Amino acid sequence: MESLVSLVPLFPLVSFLYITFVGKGLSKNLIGMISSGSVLLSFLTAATIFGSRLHSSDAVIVPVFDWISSGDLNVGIRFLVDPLSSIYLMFITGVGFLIHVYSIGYMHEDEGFNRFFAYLNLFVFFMLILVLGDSYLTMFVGWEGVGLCSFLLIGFWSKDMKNNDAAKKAFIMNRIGDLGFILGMCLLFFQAGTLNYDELFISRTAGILSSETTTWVAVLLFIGAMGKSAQIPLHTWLPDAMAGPTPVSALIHAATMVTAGIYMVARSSEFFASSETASQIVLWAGMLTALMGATIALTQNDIKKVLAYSTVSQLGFMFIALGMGAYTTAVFHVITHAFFKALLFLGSGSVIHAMGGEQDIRRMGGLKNHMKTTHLTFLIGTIAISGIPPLAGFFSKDQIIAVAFEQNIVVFVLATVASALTAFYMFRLYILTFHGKFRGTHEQEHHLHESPAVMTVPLVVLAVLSVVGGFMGFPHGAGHAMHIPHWLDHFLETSTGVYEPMMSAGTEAILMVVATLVAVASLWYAWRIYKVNNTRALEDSEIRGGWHKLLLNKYWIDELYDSAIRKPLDAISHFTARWTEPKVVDGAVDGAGNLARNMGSQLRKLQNGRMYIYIASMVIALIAMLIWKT
Amino acid sequence: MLTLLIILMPLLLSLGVMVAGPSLARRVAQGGSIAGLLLTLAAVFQYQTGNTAQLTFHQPWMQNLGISFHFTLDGISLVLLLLTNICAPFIIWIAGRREMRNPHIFYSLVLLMLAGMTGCFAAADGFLFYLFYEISLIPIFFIAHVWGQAENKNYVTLKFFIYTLFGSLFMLLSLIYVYLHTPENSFALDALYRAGSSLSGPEQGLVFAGIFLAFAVKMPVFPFHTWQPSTYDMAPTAGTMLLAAIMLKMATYGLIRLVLPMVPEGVEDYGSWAIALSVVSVVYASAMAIAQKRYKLLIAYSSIAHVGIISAGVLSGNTQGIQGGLIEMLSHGILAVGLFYVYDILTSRLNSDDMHAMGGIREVNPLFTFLFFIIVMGSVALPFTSGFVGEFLLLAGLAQSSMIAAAIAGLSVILGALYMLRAFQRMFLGTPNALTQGFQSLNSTEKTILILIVILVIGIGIYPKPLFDLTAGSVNALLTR
Repeated sequence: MESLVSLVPLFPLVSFLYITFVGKGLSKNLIGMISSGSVLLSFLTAATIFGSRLHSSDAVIVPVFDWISSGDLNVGIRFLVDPLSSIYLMFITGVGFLIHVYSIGYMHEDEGFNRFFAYLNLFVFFMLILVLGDSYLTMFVGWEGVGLCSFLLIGFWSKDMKNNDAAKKAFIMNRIGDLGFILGMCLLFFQAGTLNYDELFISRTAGILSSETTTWVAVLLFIGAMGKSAQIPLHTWLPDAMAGPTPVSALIHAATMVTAGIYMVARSSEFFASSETASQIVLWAGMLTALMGATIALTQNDIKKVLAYSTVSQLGFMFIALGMGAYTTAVFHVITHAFFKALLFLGSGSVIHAMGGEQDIRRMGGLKNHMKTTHLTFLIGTIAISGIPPLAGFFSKDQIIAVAFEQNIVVFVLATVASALTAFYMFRLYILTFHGKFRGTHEQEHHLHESPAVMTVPLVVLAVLSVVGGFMGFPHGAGHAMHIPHWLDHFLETSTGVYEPMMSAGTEAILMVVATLVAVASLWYAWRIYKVNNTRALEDSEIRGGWHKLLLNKYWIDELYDSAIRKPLDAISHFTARWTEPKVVDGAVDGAGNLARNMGSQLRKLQNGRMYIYIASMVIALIAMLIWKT
Repeated sequence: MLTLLIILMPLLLSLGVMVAGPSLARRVAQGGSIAGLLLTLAAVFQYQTGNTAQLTFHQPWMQNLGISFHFTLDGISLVLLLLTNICAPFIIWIAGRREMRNPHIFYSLVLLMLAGMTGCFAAADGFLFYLFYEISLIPIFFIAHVWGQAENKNYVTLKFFIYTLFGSLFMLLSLIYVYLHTPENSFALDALYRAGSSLSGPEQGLVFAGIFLAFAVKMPVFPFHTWQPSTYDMAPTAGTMLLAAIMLKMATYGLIRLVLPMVPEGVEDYGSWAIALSVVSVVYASAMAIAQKRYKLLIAYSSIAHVGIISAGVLSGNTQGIQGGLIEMLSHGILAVGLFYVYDILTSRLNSDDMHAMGGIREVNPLFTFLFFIIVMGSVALPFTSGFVGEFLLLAGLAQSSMIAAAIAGLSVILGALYMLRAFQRMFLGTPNALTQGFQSLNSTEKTILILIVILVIGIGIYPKPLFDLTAGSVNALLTR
């Protein structure tokens, strides 16, 4: 079965090549079908493999071809099939397929239709390489590959330089993280003599790392994860990445690529588990990011920006889990988040589609009457992310909060606050979009319509997954009492670290009730403000409060980076170019330059038409020397 | 014999082209360069992996001085010959697209230069290495001066010529110094290796300093680089390509061939200075690249940044550093041809390479954009391009001698992406303006050349194994001697 795994990334790759090089004359529908079909085939293959994995947890390595082999550094393109990679395969191809189908409708009028699907396929290919690779270096291939696709898709509408700026920003910020990743690999190879998971974690033939080295490796790798998964201080690219078409935001910037950092830390759980320092860094980076993202999301009025900051915040939750050693819990939240956040983004796409490109929720309202399916599925997504039982987000988020309760009461309190904020900003978003009176133009109102089935069916499927997805990780205590095992933890235990909670079923139940009450209270508050009191969101010019301004301007972090990094860098560069280089460095050569000029007048005599003789004599002399002695 | 033929053929053709005259010159040169590639491939296939010192040609020359015509090809030399003879057909092909004065002299000089560089890469005698190293300088001086364009032409070319010549003198002095310590009075590399490595640490350091100075000018490395941007800028495209793609590799090759085995203790004790200079050079050149407004100068400075990483990685003196260096030399050569060819294409249509004046070329010419973008990705070392294999190994090698140096050199991962993407977006994205609106699509030659380059960049990036197989034995032999 496992040998089939090479097919999983092969299908989208072939589709990418086909669309790029052959697909010019084909109709849009055919291109869309080829592209989605390839991902569907990947999904079916992945499902077959996944099915066979359910009964065996051994890691299987499938070699594809030799890549780099320099001294001890031997990295082939080889695929590792184990529980962690196989579950990632499932949701990448599954959610990926749904988003491909949705895109057929969403992108139908776009002149870059073929290009879009080619990029999307290429993205899926690299994402699969990322999770299937059996070494850090192969992961890095996928890692940079998805970064490339992200760059291409954020800047998809490349006529507008604003989109290009966002794309460049994403690439550069990711590259800052990638430098950490590269240095982590360099150090790991230097100290352990290998980059392969097998030798590091399974057969354990690698060199032993000192605890200090382990910390360094873990921290350097985590810098990579911070870039890819948009954690403070490398988070500012993700909201800007919303410049890309909405399906891209759903697939790349919510469901899959941005969770690569979580995958990486889970994959390296041994390093992090044995380094308290590294784990603390992960925990607090996640905590800060979760709070910051949630607070900013309170004030944003662009439907996609709210969701983007929500993603930043939810990724923070995942890192909180990782930092506390609950690696499987983080993966659990990755999966449920993929369902409901993809759903929410696609729902927002459906709304934007109906609104003729409008993204400002202050110009929306009352859409529930015009788009029933979108409204209902969006509501399900909103409830799921808010952590209300029994929807998917409740189970995974509750598990994170339960671990925090056991480990660190400060984290528990802060995470609960962030969780309450989540319910509030999501219901604010939901109410302002779908309830109340329509606030847009008459023309927009006239054009309001539900999206075609090709877009709404994926919404429905994702909504179902958002409802039932949580049961793969039934709560430990309650599950124990009811003899329902925590399937996911059990499944993943050979791939990554599992956190075993100590709390009783009773404590767990109390925590769940508290978490639910907090979420419900929060959404009731949002309901009262925006629905009952019909409070409208302020126009930017009306905002007076300092806090409000601070949040609206995203803590001025972009401005800070601009004046603390970008401008100085440009200034230094220009100073070097205008002054240091000509005056200092080259100035020192001036003496030689003058000498050169003087000699120039001598040398110049050699050139006037006598070059034949010059070359010929040189060549003849050389040849004569060679032949004479042969 | 094959070895001799590879060196002799361009020499003979250099004369042949001049005799053939202006009308036939281009064809003869093109044929010759392709024959050179075939001969090199033949040598690669004939070479048996693992064994060093094969395909040897050895004849005594100035016996009383211990100098002989001694050429030999091992895996390391063969990579450089591949580089030379893969790039040469492209360069000559590209040069042939433009009208020029006295083409027969031009091609004659190009072939002479190729012969000089080939000889340098194959030399197994220290004096021969020096001789060919210098011989190749003369033709490029004339190519730049006669066919180049700049207001201060004399100043630029003479600065280039004298700067490099001056640098090389220190190499000659170093070589003579080691030579004087050979018991058998020989310039043979083996003899120089033995004599050099038995020198005292400080003596080795001095010899190392002399040779590194020569190479630092040639590569170039900060602060010896100021001849480079102006020379690259004024030289005709083919000349710039010869300089950037092949000629500077004599210096990086020399680090592997001359420095590492001859003065191992010198490198160990004082190499950190050279590594420090090289990584400073990476950052300095990247900063300079960020400030450039013209495409050709941007590429010139980015070349300094790339070469700095090669220099630092190779000097770390381990398998990854050296093999990474070799692959990066090949990759950098191919990418340099691609990047400067794009310059040629742009200026042939726009009469300018001012990046701020361009924009929106993608809307007019998506294929050109696509091909250029892949070359850009190779240049920023994206995995599965040739640039990544080389640069990652260089950094992995460098990290073994200093994590901090690797971190500083690694800044190019960020800065390189910054200036290359900025340039790409400025030139190709956005909406077309008056200048770029009528951008003529690529003709078939341009398409073919760019597609071949892109195939090489991706091919080496995905399947570099033959290059590892080719070099593993020789690098191992070099490190265990």
